[in-house]
Amino acid sequence: MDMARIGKRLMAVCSVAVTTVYAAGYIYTMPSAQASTNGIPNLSSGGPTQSTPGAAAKAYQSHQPTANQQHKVPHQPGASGSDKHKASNSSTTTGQSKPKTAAKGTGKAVKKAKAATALYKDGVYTGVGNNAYGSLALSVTIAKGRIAKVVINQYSMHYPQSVIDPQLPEEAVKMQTWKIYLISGATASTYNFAEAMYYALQKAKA
Amino acid sequence: MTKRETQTRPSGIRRFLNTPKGIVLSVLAGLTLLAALRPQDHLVLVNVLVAVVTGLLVDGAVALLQRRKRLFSDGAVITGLIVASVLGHATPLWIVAATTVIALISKHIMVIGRKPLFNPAAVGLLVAIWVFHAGESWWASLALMPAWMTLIVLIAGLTVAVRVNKFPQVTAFLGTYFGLLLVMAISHTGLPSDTPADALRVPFVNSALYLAFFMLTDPPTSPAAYRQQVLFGILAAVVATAIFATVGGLSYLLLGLLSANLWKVVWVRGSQRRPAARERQRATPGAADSW
Repeated sequence: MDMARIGKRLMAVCSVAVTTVYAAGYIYTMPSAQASTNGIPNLSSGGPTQSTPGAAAKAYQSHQPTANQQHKVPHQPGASGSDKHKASNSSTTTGQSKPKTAAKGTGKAVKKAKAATALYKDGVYTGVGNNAYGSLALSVTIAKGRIAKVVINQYSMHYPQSVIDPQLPEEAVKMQTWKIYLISGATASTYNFAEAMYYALQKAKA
Repeated sequence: MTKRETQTRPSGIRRFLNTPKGIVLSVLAGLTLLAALRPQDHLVLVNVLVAVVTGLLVDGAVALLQRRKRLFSDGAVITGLIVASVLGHATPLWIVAATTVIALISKHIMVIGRKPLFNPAAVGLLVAIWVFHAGESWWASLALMPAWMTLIVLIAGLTVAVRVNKFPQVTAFLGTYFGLLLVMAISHTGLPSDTPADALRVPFVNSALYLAFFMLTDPPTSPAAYRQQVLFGILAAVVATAIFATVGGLSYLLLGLLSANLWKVVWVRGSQRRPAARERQRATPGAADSW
């Protein structure tokens, strides 16, 4: 039996049929695909097939580096511009919080002294990161104004948790930042981790 | 042989590149190099080198044991390329090598006649996921490149599917797979973390295309007759989608392929009892060596 038995016309018909089924599924799922990119404030959606940098990448752009991050080389959003990444923050996080938090109550001198000693309020804060590859939730323990412990509570990524755990939680504690190195091959997990850390630390901001 | 005949006779390499294996090998190598152009992915070529060299050593050793004249195995190169292309970038080199070894050993151990039962790369990758907890990225499917580059995978894949005479199988798989994802979307079934919307888009759709074009089409582990090709493709897609809808993860495609491989074995066993079917089998043999 050779290919000539099928014929080019039948091949074309089959190709069109498969493409039509694909297009139908693609169009039908457009609302849900777009919904996953609309959750992040300031995250421009380039359409369902257009890759968009993750929330963590966006946050990188909007967040000012702290003093103890100067020796770090955080992952540049431009470097992963081609990554297929449809990111969104979970509604359970403080996704609406802005990087610049409003000062309340205390006087300027007191606030300055407090900022010098502690970046964050003590307590346990949670954050969630979502993207096309899955979701990740973590809790950050702040003790004496510093990141004391990071625990990944929920992990439903397509990559094994061992790819980023315990490396990223340890690195976050060691470097005292959510700006962690990108783990090659686990881009999505790293983004989600950074995103979840970012939102948790926004909650913890003093 | 006349002088003219000598001049028009294609060289060994050119002749090989015109064979189904040669086409698959050159297409896979091209996609691998293209995917490795991404600045973050240059080093992944080391994984490819390790997988290919390991594959050649394993198949070379087996050839020595079997006292074969030809020690070089093009099938091992293809298996190595697929293994390295599917495993994540961060996979330790020993896992890349071990996965290739397992893949090729399965090719020589799990056989029916001279043909392997299962797609070797799929076996190795599944073991890597379950035993070594290795991650998958299917990076050579251009999953991390701009979305328009998926067209390159499509064109290259269709070329392979036509040249290895597996077009019905590929279209049956993709048609069923996309159709079932549409049904999932309409019926709102599936997992919150693994939605049809994801599966129909880059990067997930790239892995399905890569599997359909370059793994499903492996001649000895898939049927030759068109009717069986269609059934094979449908079965692989149904199993894969069912696992995607209920369990998620990324191994659903591999499990779909291996289930279809198993069905093919059962069908071949059954057909051997039927004289007419046995004749058909003889008339449409697949290549003995897998990729």
